[in-house]
Amino acid sequence: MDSVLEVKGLTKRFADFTAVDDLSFSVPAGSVYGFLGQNGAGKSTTIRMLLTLIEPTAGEILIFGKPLASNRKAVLSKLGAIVEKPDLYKYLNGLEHLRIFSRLSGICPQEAKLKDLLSLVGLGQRLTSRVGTYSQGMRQRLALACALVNDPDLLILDEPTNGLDPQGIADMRQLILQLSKEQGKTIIVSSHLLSEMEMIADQVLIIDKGKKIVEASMETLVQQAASLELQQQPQRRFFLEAYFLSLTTA
Amino acid sequence: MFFDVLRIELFKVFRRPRTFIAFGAIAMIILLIQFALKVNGQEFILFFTDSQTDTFEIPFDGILNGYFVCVAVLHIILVHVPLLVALIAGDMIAGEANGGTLRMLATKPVTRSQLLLAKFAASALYVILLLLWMALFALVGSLLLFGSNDLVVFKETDLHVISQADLVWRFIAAFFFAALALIMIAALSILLSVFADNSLGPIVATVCIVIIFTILQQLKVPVFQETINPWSFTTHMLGWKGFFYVEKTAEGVTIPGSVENPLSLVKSGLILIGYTTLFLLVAIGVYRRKDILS
Repeated sequence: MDSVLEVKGLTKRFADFTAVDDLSFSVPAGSVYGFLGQNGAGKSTTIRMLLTLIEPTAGEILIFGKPLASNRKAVLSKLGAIVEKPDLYKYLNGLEHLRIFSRLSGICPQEAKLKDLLSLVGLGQRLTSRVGTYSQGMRQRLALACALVNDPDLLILDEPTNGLDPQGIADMRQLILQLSKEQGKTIIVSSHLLSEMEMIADQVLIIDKGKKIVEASMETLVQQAASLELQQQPQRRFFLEAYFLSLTTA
Repeated sequence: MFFDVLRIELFKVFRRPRTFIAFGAIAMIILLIQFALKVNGQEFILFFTDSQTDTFEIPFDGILNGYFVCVAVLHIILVHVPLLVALIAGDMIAGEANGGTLRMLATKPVTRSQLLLAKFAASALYVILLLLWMALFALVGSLLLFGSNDLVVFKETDLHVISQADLVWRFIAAFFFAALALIMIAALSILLSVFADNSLGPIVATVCIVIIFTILQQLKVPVFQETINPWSFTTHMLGWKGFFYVEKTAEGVTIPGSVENPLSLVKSGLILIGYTTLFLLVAIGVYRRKDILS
């Protein structure tokens, strides 16, 4: 399987603090790639470098086989993202957001397509309501629609279930699976819950203190967890989390 | 692409309720000044002509006309408009950083220079609309309320009388000059906005900078007058007044179409454009390299 994203020796230092340390990984095309780490592990910093929000101190990022640094515009036009908690324009409505982000992506917005997109994320009934009246879950779904407005090949979602209620988490998970399986999109999802990734990810990367700890298929990771005699945990969810903690707090 | 981004920025600016505070405030202040001059216009003119009342009789009714009221309004409110401009321009980058939308914009295939220039252009258009609004109330409104006549301008102990026929271009030029000055303030606010993640900081900083340089200018002491003041933007921001100071013949007759010191007006205009360019270039340079961490 070809790689959509390839990261080599990525490093980011803020003064004397190293947030991401010599990180290398590759994301296979069409996969859901789980990007895991505890809070402060360097997930968001890595994602911000993938999106050109911050400049790496060292290393190389190749997206769609092209160096990101010299192909920013071409790469970003085929990419969609949610970075941390999506904050939107509270005084605009959902449809206006999609019009704005379509134009910013270089696309002439077609109302019917935008309405379909809002329906896909479950906001078909609220397309002309101001975002200030949306719940956190609705804002998260609108942010996902904004990320999908250019029909991206690669979707980067930074903790997309943060702040959502159980139903919102289930809906978001369903949407991610739908986008991956039905539309063949490559999706990178960051999280700090291995059990959550188990339900959607094909491949997983775990980082801690900016360094790579594990990169493996979800299947392999579950087998490794099982072999470490963590099964005494009362539920599967807990044994996966216990394994995750054993990796990241060593 | 730039015009698409500009359209989006203008759309956002004019969908925000806060934008219209400035328009409302300007309309209200002008109406209050017009009301005050309608009721106590004679006292207002006496304040400026105190030294001349013994020499000749002041024709109050002739002086208090729409053009005079418009100049009075501009004198009173133009020094405060930078605050209203800073409210919008200072929020351009920092407000989006604070609101978390800047990172969404920055992940789209638009260059940061394009984004910043579009935000500046949107601020500049906002300034122009604000001045057109001001012109509508201050000039058109005053002409309707007070009628038209020749304009008498007081400059220290001197009087400049400008005929009606010679006035329209002066008002257009004065508003154009005021636009240059306020666009420079917008560029300063955007520059300060690039360094901040909260819109209050750049708004307050812009106003503080304007206040500091205005005070230095008003002190009129050689140490500042010979060093900072000739290059301070606040000195040149008031250049619009120069269009209402006319040249006179040896007999004291006003020369139509003249201005007292055209070179000084050109110099002030160029200095304002220079500052605007400098602020924008620095803002682009900083913003292009800035890590968006908000």
